Amino acid sequence: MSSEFRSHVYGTRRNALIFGLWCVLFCHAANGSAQTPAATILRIGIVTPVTPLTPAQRSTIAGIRLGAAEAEQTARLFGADVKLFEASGDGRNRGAIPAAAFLSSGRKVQVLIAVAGADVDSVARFAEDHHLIAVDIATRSLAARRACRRYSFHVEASEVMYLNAARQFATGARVRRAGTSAAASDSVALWDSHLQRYGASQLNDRYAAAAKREMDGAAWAGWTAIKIASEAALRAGSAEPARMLAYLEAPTTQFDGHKGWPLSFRPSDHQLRQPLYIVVPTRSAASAPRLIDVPDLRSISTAGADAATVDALDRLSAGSAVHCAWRAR
Amino acid sequence: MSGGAKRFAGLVTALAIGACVAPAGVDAQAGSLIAVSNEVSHTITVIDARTLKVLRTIAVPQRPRGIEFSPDGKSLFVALSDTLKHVHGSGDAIVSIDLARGKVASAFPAGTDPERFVITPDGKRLYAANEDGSWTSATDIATRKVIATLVVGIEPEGVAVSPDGRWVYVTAETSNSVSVIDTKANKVVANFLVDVRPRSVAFSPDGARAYVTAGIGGTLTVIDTRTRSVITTLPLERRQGKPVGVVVSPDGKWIYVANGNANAVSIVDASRNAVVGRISVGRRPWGIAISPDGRTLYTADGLSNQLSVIDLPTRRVRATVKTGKQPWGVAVSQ
Repeated sequence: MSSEFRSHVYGTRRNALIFGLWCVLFCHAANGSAQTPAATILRIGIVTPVTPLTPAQRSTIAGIRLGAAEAEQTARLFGADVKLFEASGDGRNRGAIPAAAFLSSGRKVQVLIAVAGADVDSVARFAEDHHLIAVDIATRSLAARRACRRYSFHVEASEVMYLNAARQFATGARVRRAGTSAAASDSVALWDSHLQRYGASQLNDRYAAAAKREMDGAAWAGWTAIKIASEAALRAGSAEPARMLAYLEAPTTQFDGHKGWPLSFRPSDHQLRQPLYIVVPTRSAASAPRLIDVPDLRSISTAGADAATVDALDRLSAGSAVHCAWRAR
Repeated sequence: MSGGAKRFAGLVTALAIGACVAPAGVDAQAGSLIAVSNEVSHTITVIDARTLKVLRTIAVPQRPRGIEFSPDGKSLFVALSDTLKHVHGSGDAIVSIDLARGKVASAFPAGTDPERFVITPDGKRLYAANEDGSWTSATDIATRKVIATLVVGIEPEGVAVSPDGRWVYVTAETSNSVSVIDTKANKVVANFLVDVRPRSVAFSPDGARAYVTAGIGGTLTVIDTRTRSVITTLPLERRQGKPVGVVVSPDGKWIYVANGNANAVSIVDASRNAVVGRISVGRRPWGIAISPDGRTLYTADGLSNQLSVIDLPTRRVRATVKTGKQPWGVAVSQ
């Protein structure tokens, strides 16, 4: 193995683990299923930063690890498997790209995920060049969407989505009910550990039990990225990136992120359609904040309008004007 | 006495106290009783099916959700979950309530956070979905012991047993899967994928079909139980209904689905696998049950704190009954 890489194992000293990579998940005997080939093994590569991890990055990795453990249990039911590998550069070879190259050639991963926002573009570029799936969980940047990389899918919401969520809330009727006059984009969250409905409390509990910390947006993004990638492989019946790509792009494909509504990737820029949350602090610091989902899809759904839900979620991206002209595969 | 036995003894005592304050004299003939689990008020509402009068309200010490009558109709079983996560806490159990005596008869260990469960037709075993444990527990009722813990998908919820008692199907919400348990071997023998976030499952009376609701998918999936394959997936309420509970009429001709987000029950013609109607009920119906004669349907309307009573020949709500806070499940004596 190249000396240009070293591994992380969280909870142990990084410096003691130079030049190694670890595999979190291993093959297990499983019950058969006619729906998924037994040979389907999804290999996911995580590119970690060489710099000390930020709290958000630690959350992200904990979310990834929970997602991988759950994906493995699900895959085993179908005679499949999910393996997770991590690599980071040693700081002498431009970090992310050599790490991605090692994960691709040395570990044969089909999916790449960058933990640090600064590495997202490099990893996405590498994935595009090598026809690997890249899941973006670390940048809100519009530039990342405008790069229009066919194999990249954005789970993190864009900066425009955060801004529009704050604006929609500030101009909506729910402002009065919430008892606050406006919301800044920094009060908009991808996820919050106080969410309860739609199975959110169950996910928050599972994460808290596994990671010994509360689930935040970074953790949710990491967990969701693994869930989406592993479901794509299971549903497609193959971990071959082209097959997964076709599944991820299919107009009928939906995912559950415990947000209460079907999540899907917008065809024009591969941005995950999803509700966001306005976090309204309560007077007592000890009390849970009020969480208001934006857009308010419950009012739409009672009208029974199927496409209206997608339209409302797409309006969160209004103004970003990213319309990628994908090449035919 | 072990720590676990002490905890269960304490639970039985607490439940017995709760039951003793209620009026006595409830007798469960087929279709004569309706029982509702109230998730927030921690109570069970027992209703006379003929008069629709509340006969008693039984306090329970923990959060009640899954609720079933025993096959002989003499006991009511209720799944209780405590607030401890990912561990088998003192409040996690399935309890039986002797309806004739109005007392708790037994508490059965059923793993962590039991949500829904079934009792096999011979009355000998319980199979419970352990929601935060990602497994299913099989409990021997006579010995009150967990005899198998079976790994299924993540976040298991719906459980149903085939009419012949041979197969138990368990849905898993996060994994989008259904696991098939062979009750003879007590092993998971097959798994298949269904639509997104499967909730409940029910068998047809002949056991040839199983029906699975999917909350995020907003659909009902029809399963061929012989081949264990999906026959079709039917959108309900334009996929916006967040369906949960499902029951099949005793003659197998109709499937009824409680759509929590649409405040309505979908009616599916089993012969055509087609949605043929809807019935508006209260807010957030999740639990659903049908009378043995197939003429009356009941929904637990969680946000209306009521039971809707639906006359099926006319497909209209003919009455509502006040329940405790946030009714979750409903069962009818068979």
